[in-house]
Amino acid sequence: MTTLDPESAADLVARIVAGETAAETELIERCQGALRFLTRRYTRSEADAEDLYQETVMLALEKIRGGEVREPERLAGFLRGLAKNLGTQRYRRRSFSAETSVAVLPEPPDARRPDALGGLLHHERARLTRQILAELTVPRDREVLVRYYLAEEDSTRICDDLELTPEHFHRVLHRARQRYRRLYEERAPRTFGSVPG
Amino acid sequence: MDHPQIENERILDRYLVGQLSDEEEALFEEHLFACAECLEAVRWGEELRQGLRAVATEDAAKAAVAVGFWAWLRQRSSAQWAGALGFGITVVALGVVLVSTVLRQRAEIDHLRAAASAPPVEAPSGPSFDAPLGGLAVVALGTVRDAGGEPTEIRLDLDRKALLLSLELPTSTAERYQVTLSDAAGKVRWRGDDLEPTPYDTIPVVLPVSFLEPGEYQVEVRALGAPAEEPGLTMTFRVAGPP
Repeated sequence: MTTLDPESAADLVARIVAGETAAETELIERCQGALRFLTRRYTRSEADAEDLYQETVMLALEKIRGGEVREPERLAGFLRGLAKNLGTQRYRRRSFSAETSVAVLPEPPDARRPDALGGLLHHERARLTRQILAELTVPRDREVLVRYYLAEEDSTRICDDLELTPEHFHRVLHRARQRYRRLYEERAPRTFGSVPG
Repeated sequence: MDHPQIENERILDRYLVGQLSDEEEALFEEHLFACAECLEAVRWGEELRQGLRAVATEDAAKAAVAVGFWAWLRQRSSAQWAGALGFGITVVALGVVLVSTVLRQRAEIDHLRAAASAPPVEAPSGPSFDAPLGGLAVVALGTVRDAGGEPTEIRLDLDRKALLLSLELPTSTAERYQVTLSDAAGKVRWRGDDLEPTPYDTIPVVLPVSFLEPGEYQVEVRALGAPAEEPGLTMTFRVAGPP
């Protein structure tokens, strides 16, 4: 996987400003992994994430071409900030639209089943997770993963309950995540088989 | 942000659960553009969280279905509550009636089955008899009809279980009568005291068929409380055996 380190970022900005189309393609290849992950995280929706990703790339190229990037070596921070701001704007527009239009717009005709495919994938993900959790041979792995990543309990409390030091807890959490990932890669169908994102 | 800092400050785990400051988060996310290893790690961590959330939301949805009915009830008005309560009581009452009816009918069926399979009732050897009877044969006996003639012949079918003798009275001057049944040898086979005549001036006497062996019988009817000089009535009949 290609990445976007500060040196290559400064070089790409200079080439794009110079009008090199290949540099734009290279920029997209280098940043798309992180940028897709971040837009997914900012939107919590596959469809919205793709829209936000496209919008971010288009606006970023426009600004780079126009020489608006003041610190080219920090292009990653620029892209991240752009995606974050656009995501926030989308969220605000949607919230405003929902507040003002809910009284006048009719209910969507298929509001009860907004996304059949999404529901199917959600169910499949739940099924797979149940299977992996059941197959974890160390019961403490299940407890640590659920309490920390789902219930978002404070690590100090979990350490007290399990009689772990903070350093030990960090190792336990890391190992549990690794064992989960191994089982995931063995059990996941093709849909979830590759690294998500 | 570099890897020693990420490792020492547990940036990855804290990032996944949203515990980084805005500055830490911005620096770490900027780092993800340059570090394939950390990007891979956060993708897996995010996938793990999504899987756990999917399990939790499915479980929550199932629980919501279970409590949904009670939540619906809680939101109803008093009138709707009363309606629902009335409906519930009606359903329960109908259920109770239905079940009790079924149980009662089942008990009756069991009783009838037991009665059908039970051995026939033995005829009493003494003069008194009050066992339940069925398959009734009816024969009318009258003093006028039988006077000076051949006794009435009674041929009993085998499927008859009882014989109803309707003793016709010429006049009904008394309120109570005594009826005595004797066989040809003069032996009293049955006697009934304090018998009340019907509005049609008859005295009904029911006898089990097994009680009547073939032969002649004599029935004497005497009014109770009548003057001593008032004569009794005598009727005769003959029971023929089965063909």
